Amino acid sequence: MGFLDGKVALVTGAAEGLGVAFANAVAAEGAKVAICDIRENVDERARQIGETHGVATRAFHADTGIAADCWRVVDNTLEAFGRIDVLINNAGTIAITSPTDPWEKSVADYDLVMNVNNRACYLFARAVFPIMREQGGGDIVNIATDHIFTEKLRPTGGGAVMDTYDASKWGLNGFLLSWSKAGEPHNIRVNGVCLGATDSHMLRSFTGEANLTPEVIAGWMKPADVAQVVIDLLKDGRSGYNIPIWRADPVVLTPLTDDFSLKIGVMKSAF
Amino acid sequence: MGFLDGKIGVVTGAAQGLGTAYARTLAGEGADVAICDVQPEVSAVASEIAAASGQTVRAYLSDVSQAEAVREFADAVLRDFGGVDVLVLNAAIYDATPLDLPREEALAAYQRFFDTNVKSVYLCERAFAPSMVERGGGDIAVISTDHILPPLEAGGTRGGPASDLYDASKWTLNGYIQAWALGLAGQNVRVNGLAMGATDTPMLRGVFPGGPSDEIVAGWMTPAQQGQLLIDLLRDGRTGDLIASEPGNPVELPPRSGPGMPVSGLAAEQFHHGLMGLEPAVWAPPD
Repeated sequence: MGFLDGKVALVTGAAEGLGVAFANAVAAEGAKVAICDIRENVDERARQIGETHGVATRAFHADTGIAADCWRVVDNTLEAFGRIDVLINNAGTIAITSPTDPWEKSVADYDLVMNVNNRACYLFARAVFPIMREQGGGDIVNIATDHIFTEKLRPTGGGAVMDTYDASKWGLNGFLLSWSKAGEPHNIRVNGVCLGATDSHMLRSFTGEANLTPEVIAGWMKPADVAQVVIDLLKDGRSGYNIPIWRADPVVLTPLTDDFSLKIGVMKSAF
Repeated sequence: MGFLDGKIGVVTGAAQGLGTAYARTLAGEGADVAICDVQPEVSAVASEIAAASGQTVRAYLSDVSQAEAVREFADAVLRDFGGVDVLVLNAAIYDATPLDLPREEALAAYQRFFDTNVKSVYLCERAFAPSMVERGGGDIAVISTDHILPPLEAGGTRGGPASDLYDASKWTLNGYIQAWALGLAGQNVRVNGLAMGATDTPMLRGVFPGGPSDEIVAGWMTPAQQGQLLIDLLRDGRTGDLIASEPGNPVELPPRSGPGMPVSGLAAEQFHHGLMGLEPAVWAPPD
């Protein structure tokens, strides 16, 4: 049994990597779980999660870069389970893009990255918002990146070669601050998680098979540890935070604070 | 004559408000200027600035939210002027976007806001930066908002419950400013953001049904002040910074005192906030 008994969670991009960890974590707390992914193995993954935790699951094959797919996943989840209490906007993609890229590549890259990493969060959140308002509350969690955390010792984010990826994640701060204000009267909490290198499907693909030494992997955070921070965040009841977690630090929920720079994980005082 | 003699400036969204002010101040410093807008009034603005400054100022009717239009605009400017040295990415829209919009309308609103406030900035950089690199350097100024700044009171946040798209679009620009400042530093191209509070523009006036009272407007900063702030920034030579300005405070370039986003006129503990975390001294061009 868990604190999410009777609740329903929707996790995007959950056929592999971090999404699976989030889905397992909410299922372990008793939630029914809907997952979606562009990958075909999303059905098999949902079955595994259901068997492991003894909860009902649903899988939806969807490309979150397509608006109609996002809406369909929300509608089908509601149809299957009757409610949506937790939305974890996890689906993301990455591309190497730089300010000196050629024109045609740039025109194509923007939609590929922005539609999944930024627009899908917006579409999912706006689709679940009325559902959560109707049922008296809910939680929305957007998964971001340490690239947008700019404390003095990690100044460069994705450097110069992931401009649209970084921008897509920076934009989530604007959404979470606005939505946490709009959600407050309705008991809807909105947070982000701004995480450093984690042993995820994305990072493994990005790093490349040849470079995946045990030492490299050992330096990354574990998806289950990151997922536990999200569980702690859901239990905590706060709203309007972008939680920073790094591999070099304890992977734990940061304390409650009135300090904007600590709350949002950017614009941290440099002195 | 001015310190931009022989230079070429480009300002998007210059048919009114801040864009017009930026074009005017660039021309006032001796730059020839290309301006664009979706509003046909941009032609009259160009004529007026040309007459007042004696510089070449050309207007282009262009919707920079569309990729093809950006390409055409850039090709035309590069053909007509031969290059660009200062790019001011000012075109933007503001509107309330309440959460109860129907889905299709919410999607359309997303495209409208992100195409205009984000994609246009991104594509203009891609279209114009090669010319700056070729010419040995340049400046890109990205116009933002105080919605994305640290709050004035502890515990608060800026932005609003019905402005998710405007706020998020401007937050998104931080990623580009950050990456471009780094990626173009070696080519002597500087990239900064200007995040201003209430300034007397048609965009802000439009927020008030029936128009704002004189008393309200008296509390705002002026486009001319913002134009001068841009000039001061260009003279300064820093990169990777977000320059904040707020009503009730001197509209002036904060000192280059370390990594961070100086917020002019705010309390000392709020003064230094690292947006980019870059060490400006490292990236400043040689004197």
